[in-house]
Amino acid sequence: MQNNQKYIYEHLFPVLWKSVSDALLLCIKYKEQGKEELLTENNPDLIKCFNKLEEVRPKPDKHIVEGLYPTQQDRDGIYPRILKLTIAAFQDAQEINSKGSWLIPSPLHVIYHLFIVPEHSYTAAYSLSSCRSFLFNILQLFPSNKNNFDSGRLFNEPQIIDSLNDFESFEDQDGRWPKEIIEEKDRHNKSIRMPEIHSLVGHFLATRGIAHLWFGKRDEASASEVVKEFLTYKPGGENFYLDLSIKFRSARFRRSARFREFPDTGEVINQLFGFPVPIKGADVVFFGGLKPSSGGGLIMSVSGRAGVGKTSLALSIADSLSPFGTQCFYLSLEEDIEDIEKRLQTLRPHVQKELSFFSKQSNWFTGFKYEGTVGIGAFTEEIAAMAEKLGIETKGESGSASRYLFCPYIIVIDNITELVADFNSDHYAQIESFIEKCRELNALVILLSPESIPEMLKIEYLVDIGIELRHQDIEREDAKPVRIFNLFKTRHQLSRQGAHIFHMSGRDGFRISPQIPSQIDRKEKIRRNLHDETHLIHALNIMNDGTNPVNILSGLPFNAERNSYLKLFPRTQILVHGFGSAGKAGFALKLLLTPPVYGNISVSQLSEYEFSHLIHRRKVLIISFLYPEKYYNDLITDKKNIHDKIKSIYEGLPDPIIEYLVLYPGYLTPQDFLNKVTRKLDEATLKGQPFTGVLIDGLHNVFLQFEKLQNNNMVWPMLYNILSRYNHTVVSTFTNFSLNDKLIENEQIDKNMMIHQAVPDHLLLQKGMAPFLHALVKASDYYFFMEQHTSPKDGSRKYLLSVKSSIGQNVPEEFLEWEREKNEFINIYTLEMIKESESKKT
Amino acid sequence: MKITKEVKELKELILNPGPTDRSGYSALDLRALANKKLKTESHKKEEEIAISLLNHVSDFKSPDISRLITYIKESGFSEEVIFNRSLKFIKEKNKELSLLQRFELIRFLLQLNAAKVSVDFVQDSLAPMKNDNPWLYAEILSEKAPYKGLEFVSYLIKSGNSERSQLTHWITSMMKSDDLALLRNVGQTISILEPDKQIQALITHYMRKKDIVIAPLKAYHINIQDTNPGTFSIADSKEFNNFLKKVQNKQKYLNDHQNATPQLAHAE
Repeated sequence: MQNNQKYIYEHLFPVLWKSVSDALLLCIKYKEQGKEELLTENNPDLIKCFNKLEEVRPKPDKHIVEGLYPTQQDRDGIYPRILKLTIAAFQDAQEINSKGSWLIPSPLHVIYHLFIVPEHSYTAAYSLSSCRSFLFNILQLFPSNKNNFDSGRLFNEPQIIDSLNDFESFEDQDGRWPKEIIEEKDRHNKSIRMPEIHSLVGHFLATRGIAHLWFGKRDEASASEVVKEFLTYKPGGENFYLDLSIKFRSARFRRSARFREFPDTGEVINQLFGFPVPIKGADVVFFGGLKPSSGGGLIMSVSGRAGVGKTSLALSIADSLSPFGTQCFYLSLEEDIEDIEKRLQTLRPHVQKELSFFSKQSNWFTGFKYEGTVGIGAFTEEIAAMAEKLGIETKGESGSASRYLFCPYIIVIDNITELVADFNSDHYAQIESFIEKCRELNALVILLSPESIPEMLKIEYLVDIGIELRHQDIEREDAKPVRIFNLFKTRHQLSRQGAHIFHMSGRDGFRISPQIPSQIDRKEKIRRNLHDETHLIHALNIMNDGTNPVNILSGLPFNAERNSYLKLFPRTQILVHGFGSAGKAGFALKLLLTPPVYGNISVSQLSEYEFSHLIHRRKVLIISFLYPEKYYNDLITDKKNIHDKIKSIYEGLPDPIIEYLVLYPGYLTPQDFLNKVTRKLDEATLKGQPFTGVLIDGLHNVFLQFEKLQNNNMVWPMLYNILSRYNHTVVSTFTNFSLNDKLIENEQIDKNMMIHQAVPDHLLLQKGMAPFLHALVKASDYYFFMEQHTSPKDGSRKYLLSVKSSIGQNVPEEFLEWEREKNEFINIYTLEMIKESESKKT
Repeated sequence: MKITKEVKELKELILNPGPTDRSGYSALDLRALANKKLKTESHKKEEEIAISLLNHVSDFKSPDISRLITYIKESGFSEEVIFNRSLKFIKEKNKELSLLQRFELIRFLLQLNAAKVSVDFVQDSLAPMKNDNPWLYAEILSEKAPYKGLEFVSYLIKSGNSERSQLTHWITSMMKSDDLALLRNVGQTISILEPDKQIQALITHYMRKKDIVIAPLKAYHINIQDTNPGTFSIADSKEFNNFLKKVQNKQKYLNDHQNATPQLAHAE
């Protein structure tokens, strides 16, 4: 935290709130006028709303002001990220059926997303805690905890749970919530009434984007006037905070259409009463945060062998919490403080350098090397003396500090074996009293110990949080060891227990890849998307794109009784399957780079439209098990120019944005794999530019080359499950082992095979088919099959595409001829035509 | 007293016990073992021979006396007789004996029957050792009177005569006692007086092992630079106070600035 602020980015809230409000006002205006096409990130009027932000000094962090400056816009075509987020949030709110009322996202939701560094989604912890503090401050309501005994305006857990339940039951009736809003007379009374709690819960959920603000008509004023009043600020008007506190009460809430249900109560409780842990993956593992015990402190035991990463975990937690003003006292019974400080330097994620709220010096760290050894009894008294001093020094000062300092200090004890070397279980009482004294420190106390100690001393019964770190595969010389983060106990809160994977080297610092089920269930609350029937992708309906694009059906010798060959809806999952190198990647990219158009626009009408609006821009994530980035680059722009061909049909189409996740054969774990994918997808959302398509290329390559993925049967269903929660089209390609057809074709090999008895191992092949079968089951809105054939026209080698299944329509019976070199369709055949040419050949 | 052949033989054996055999026994050891099995009469005779040897201690060096004492004990001679004869011998020949010889004999007496040896006798007999060999003196004094020993060691440390290896040796021997009150006293006193890291470590090690809490806790040596004894504890350390100050500053800042936000309750 910067020294002159109560919470991170405190000084930015007024200007951001007002700017976002201005932009939302404009969005409402556009929508009222039916000019929704103006809702784009390059609309100068919308960009203007954020001019004030440019004037803020010192200049806010890079991720906040991204795209705000004219040079970025003109030269790089990068538009304000905050505007993209505002528009995305506004459009999300419009998904709710509004019936004469107005729904808008909370400006705080936009701010919440804005504060997160997209590439480092764990920075959401800082953002959330900051937005939360802002909210508490506006409503003058603070969570009750042991430190907060001074102020009367405290809320407690049962109130929050009641309120959430109330919201949920209202939701069933499809209505706005709450029934009652804060009355003038209730505000800021010493005693807190339920409407105030409702308001807090509603605004908190709105901050997270789970709910949106609802405005209906009030007295004489129409809904439109009410919402505008909420968003309008008279220049030089009243005090911002005061003004806002009055406005806040007029808002009611509706659940966002994107969410199937509300978050777990425990998660909301953790986020309101606990402190978030800004470490990658920790939000998943700890369900949003660590919640101190009702007594105030929190005791965490971290055990594991030497070198597994105990010290690193403790230091990373302390380091990551430092922006909140959390001080760390590191009590080392073993290592020299200098060494620990050095370690700290290597653990820091690089992104810290870009964030102004991290201080350059580690003045939050105080290390102390305790020389010699000490008995547990003596040490307990030592802890008591520290606790007493901390109590005396800090209690008198609590006041407003405790409202903003959720975890004022961390005390690390490294490590407790020194205390208990020749210990036996008879001394349980002593350990118990030791832990009790640690509790009196009223802090996050992290006890480090070797692997066997917690069990031996039965510490796990006494601590609040138990974590065991260990290595896996360390004995195998052919595998990369995996580090396991095993959360086996959390006493006061909801968490995702069990074994997760963690890493600690590299530029990202200490990070956790949560176990697969955890990654899935956090996405469970998000609604799964069905295909979008209002739009069509015409990729299969046009042939000869490069030279003379025409409706592919015109290639038939007779008049087909339909307008288009295939209705390909966006937001679907598509499988492209075949033998050999048929140019499946090119075909898949063509599907993903073609902009969907309204269903009533036919192929012949395409030339009448202009596609330069940014809404048509495609953004594709390529997950490749096969080729490096350059391969796809060549396909899209450099050599094969798929994009230019599409652009020749869709005039003015903006250049696509392509991102890659290239995976190399090796020991990628399923956890890391899924984590990488979800992170990429979330990152895009946070950048304000979600993907429109995902290509999973070379699924077959997983076989044998990605041992750990191959051996985990659930990874594919999980992947497709996650992908279905986002608003995009997914294409997967799968090539069958060409071994099969070559064996048939090549007599020489055939003979060899007979000699060597090299019968293909069917079991192996079956295993290799697993991803394919999963893709078929999960990702089969459309299933295309491609195989080589000899063109009946000129006898050259071409590829035939047939549709095996298609959603919402009859499967077309005709075959399309695919020219791999040009990446376009060149012919259409009926089954009879194919048969005829086959019979001619023979 | 004339030297009989047997006494002379034994004396030679004491002075030169010979090489040890495969089991690690010297000729002297074997003789002692053999004595144990002798019948009363022969046993008595051997005892007399050994006692006679006390008259020759002036020819003996300190290790020789140790060997003699071991021999007497191993042979299973009557402790009472030997004790009385030895005591009488020391008292008579006090001046003829060297300090170390006296020391060995007194230690022998203490081992045989500490209760019958008065503190004053030990102190008087060995008084010159206080200066010549204070640590041996401390050792023997502590054996007879641990608290006097502790007092003497404290005096040694205070007067700057502390020596790590000697002190370590002394602490180690003291810690063999079962008297927890004594151990606590030793640990506390020495840890306050002696700032040496290893000694502190040793004491904390023993305190932990015996599960003794030293009160006050300040006995722990924390800050090497801080030479003021009695203020050592984590809670009192410079580092912990720094940490406290940082925590306090943050809180103070937040409290001072809480008025930056309007007090909404009163604002209207």
